Amino acid sequence: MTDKTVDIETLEFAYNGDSPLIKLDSFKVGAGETVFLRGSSGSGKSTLLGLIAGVLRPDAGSVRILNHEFAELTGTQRDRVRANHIGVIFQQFNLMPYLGIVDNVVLACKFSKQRRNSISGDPRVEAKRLLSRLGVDTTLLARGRVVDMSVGQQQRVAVARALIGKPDLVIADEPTSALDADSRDTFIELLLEEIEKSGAALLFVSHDANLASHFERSVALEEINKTDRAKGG
Amino acid sequence: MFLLAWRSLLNRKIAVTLTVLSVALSVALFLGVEKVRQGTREGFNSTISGTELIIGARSGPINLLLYSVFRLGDATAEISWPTYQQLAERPDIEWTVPLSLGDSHRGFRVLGTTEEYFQRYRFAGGRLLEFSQGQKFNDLFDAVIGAEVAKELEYSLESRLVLTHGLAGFSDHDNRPFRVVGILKRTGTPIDRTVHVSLEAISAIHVGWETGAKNPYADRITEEMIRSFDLTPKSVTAVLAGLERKGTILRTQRAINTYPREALMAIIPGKVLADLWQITGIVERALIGLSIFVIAVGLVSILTSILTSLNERRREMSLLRAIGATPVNIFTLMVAEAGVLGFIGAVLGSGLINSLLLIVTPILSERFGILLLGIGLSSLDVLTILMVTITAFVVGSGPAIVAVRRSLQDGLNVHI
Repeated sequence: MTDKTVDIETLEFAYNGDSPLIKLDSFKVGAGETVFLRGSSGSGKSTLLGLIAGVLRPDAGSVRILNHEFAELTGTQRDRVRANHIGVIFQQFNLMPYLGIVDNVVLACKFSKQRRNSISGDPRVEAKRLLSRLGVDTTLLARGRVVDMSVGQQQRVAVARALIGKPDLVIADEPTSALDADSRDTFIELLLEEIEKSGAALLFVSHDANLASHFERSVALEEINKTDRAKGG
Repeated sequence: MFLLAWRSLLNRKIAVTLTVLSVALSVALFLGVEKVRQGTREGFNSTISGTELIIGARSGPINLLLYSVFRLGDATAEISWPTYQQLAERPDIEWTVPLSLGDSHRGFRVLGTTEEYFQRYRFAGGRLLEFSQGQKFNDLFDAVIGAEVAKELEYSLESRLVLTHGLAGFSDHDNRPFRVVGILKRTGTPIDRTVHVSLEAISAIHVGWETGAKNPYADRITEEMIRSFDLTPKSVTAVLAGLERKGTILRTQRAINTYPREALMAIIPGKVLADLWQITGIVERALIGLSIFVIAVGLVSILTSILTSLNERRREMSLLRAIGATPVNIFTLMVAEAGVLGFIGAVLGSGLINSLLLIVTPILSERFGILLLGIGLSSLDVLTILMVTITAFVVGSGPAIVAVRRSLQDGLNVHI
């Protein structure tokens, strides 16, 4: 058993035989820890998240999520680890436009029996509880369409989806980039509050260094990524 | 995944509606062609049974079958009465029923025959004619009508009717009205659309019409005078015959075909029908081939619809992958969408053509005398729906593979 939620060692990754985009000696996120990972555009932030989520496969090195060593797992097994243990929030277009608000939240449980079973009772009730706690307008829940919601409200729905079923790790990829300054701070505070309640670790990625103060630890990707491309920005 | 596919399809209502419509129309065309083909065959095949030979003046076998049994087309010549009598007396022939065609009543064919017609004529694998009301004709001016004639013209027993000279003639035999004494039960054959009178009645109404048109003195001949005349017909149009022994059928046929005193032709109904289907089979196969191609076009429209939506759905696929969807889930979603489109299109197409045939069948029967049997939902519909759905699943696997590949390449990082 490890107390590390994310444990990366000597990781290397390149797209299609290109020069390496990611070359990390070590990167770790502890259980329940909130980590801010900053990096400029093109520095490989989203690629690193893809590797941590198990969507991409490293060329060398080790990516371990909880006790799961991705190098030893098949694609389907990595997908299962992601479904069971990781919640993801994107910068925008987080939601399925053809699903209702609650349906979008419970969608995460459709792919993970573990997350569904961790909810005592109806996942839809749990979804509504989470949405309500995150300040989503409850009058919209019955018949509201996600496409009619503001970006800020959509991001809260995305947070609810990432948190439902108590995942061990939440990855947030520039989730505040489409929000104005006031909404951004409110969103981060709300996210951190819910993360603390859920006990999940948070890996928050952004190019905006001003956000670093909200998190327990801040890491600059350019400093840990040993490739020339990262250094060149 | 099917629920997700369904919700995704509902999100693209216009494109999906058009795709479903194109599949529905193509399935409707295919089922329409096949059902009309099968219905026509079934209708024709069930019209006559138990008659070994049909005898007429020498012409074409198909023509003889069509005018004598199906009331389609006309005879080019007739059989003289003495010849008919000689045929009836042949030792190898058990029974004969003479038929006299040529007149009509408000668009329905008139058939002059003998009372034996009602005992001998069999249809639909051996069923005898039955009366829903009344009985056979007894009197000279009695008529027995088919079920469709009674329904369309709202005739009942004792209704009066006047025959028209010829099939599209404007001259009525209005001086010799008939009385309906019997209405036959529905048979699903051209008999339903036939007015039956005695052979003598055909002779009787043509007294005063010897030149082919009504002469000025015809009306002066009273019914009583006619009843006193010898009304033995001079000729008949065709003869239905049953044999003493079925084994002699070819010998009897040959003997009639080489009858020295008159140019006759005997046909075996089943064989001529088979010849007819062989001729029409070429066109049928071409039509079926064409309609299968149209179904293929409909299925290609599913492919086009899904392929064109793939690019705008990359974010959706990426999102699903991020939540934990496996490549198999993505593949299933795309294939399910194609399958749902195919299934709905096929069900709609089947519903459409069956509804249309319900409307068209009576019109075909009324206007052209073509009876379509076995129309309605059948195993063909189920099989077609199944095949189209399965093919749609297969067709959908192409874009599904593309979607899976892209989702693997994109990872969590799609910028559109």
